[in-house]
Amino acid sequence: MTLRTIVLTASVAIAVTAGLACAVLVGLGAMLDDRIVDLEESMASQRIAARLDHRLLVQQLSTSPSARAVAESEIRPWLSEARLHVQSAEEAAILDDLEEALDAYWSSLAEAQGSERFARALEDVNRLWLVNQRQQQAARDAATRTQARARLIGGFGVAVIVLLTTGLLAWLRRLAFQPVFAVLDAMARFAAGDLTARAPERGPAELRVLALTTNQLADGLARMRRQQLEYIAGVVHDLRNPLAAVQLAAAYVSPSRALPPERRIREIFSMIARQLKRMNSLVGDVLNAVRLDAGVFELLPQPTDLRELVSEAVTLFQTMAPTHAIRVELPQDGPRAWLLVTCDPKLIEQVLNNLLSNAIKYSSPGSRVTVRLEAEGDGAVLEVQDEGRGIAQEELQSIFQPFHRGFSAHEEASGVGLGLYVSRRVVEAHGGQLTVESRMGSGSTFRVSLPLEGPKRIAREKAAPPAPRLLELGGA
Amino acid sequence: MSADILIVEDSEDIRETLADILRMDGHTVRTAADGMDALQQIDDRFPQLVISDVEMPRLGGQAMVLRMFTENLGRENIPLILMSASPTLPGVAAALGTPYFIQKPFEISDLESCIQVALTEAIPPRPAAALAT
Repeated sequence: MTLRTIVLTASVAIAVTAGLACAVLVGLGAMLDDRIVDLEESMASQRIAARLDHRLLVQQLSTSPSARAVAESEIRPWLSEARLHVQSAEEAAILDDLEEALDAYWSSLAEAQGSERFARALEDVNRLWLVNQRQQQAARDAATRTQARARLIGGFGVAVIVLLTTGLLAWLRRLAFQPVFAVLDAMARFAAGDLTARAPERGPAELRVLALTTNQLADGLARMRRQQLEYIAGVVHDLRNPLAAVQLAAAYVSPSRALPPERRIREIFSMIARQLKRMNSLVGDVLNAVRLDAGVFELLPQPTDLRELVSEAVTLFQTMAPTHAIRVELPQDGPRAWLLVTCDPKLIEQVLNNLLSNAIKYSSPGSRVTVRLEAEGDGAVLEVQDEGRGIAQEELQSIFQPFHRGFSAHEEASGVGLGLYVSRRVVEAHGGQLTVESRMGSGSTFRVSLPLEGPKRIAREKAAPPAPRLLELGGA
Repeated sequence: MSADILIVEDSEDIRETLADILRMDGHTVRTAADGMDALQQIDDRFPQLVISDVEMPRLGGQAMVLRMFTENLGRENIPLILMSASPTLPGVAAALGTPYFIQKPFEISDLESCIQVALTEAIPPRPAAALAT
């Protein structure tokens, strides 16, 4: 269930309860009002009964006929008024009886008959008083009952609202606040250096998503950290081999040994130079990789004739690796313009050198390495094809990862350490692509495609460096 | 003590320089560029000691030791010094059951001491993977 649904449901329940309680209380209030009106009616009727009683007694004491006429003219409106306050059939019947009795009383002239009729009228007045007294009591009782009911319903409503609110708060605490605190706690532990800290993925849907996203972020940061450590280990490993060679060379001419012949010393020094060059190129690759990752890599693009670039590189490798037959396929004819590709020639040369050096390293002496340059669409395509043992299908993407050691676990393959990674990033920074096709046993072809108009993406890469942002989050 | 030593190392610079130094120390030294080459040379003549890199093309150090152990009688008793830049070298040595290993880069004197100990004790590797089968 989602947090939204639960809070909504609880809020609706509270609102409905409150609404019902209010409606019932309003109803009870109206009922109470009715009882009060009843009470007022009864009291008014009673007052009239008392006045009638008093007036009749006064008239009975006086014997003059004019007094009787005065009394009649006073009493009749009171009777009409009493009719207005009638609340029951009984009361109406009593009033009828009273009116009848009074009419009889006032029309009787004989003394004896008169006192008998007076007594009857007086008794009816008395009954009127009593019936109103009963009605008053009934209205009072009803009002008391209504009040008690209102208290009960009001109390119950308040209790239900308090219970629901408490329940909602308790639920929020257990199912909403606790997961939030658990996520905060996990983040705090992660920030403090516990890379295994993860938030429990429980509670309502939104908080599970929050925990999941937090955990994914933590996974990503932990993975980045692991990759950084592996990266450093890779750099260290790849520096150790040339260091070992140089250290051995130093031992060769140590004071405790006889000096080797001059020819051998020259060989040793050229070996030192070679190994230093390797170390220097590795350090350069590391720096380039760091700059590429940080998005502060600067290209110096200029119109470049790729044919010259290819020829120079191939000539260099033909001298360095006479064991392999390096063949070049350049387009001889056609318009020259397309060959001028806008690129950073030094970097593209590095890419080509890296691909050539890999091709030579991973193929047997005597085999052929072909470098091919072609026009394709709006760009140029540069291919380096070897007849080596090839790359397994599952390795085709991972060889572009830093310090991947897959297909040969080859100590000497320092080029694979960062070379392909940096090469691919350099080509991509030019707006091109570096891809590979390979078949086990028959060799690999690395393919660089470059757009003629050159790099477009430099500005964007600079503007949005992806890695440092994540690192800042991790350090916060 | 001079001995018949086989160096297995794919970096020519390291292999030949080390071979030269050990020859100057009075050892008889042969070299191999990878495990396959080394197995061939061992078959030609058993050396008293093999100094081998771990990560090599064609046949790496670990696979080479396994084959020395399982294939031909006698090759399994040749002591082995592992020599690598890999940070996991102690683990690899433990897995191959050899007490002798040296991390690149190293002082030549350290390797020389290691060679003397290995020649004296002559404890052959006992690879756990081969013993389990």
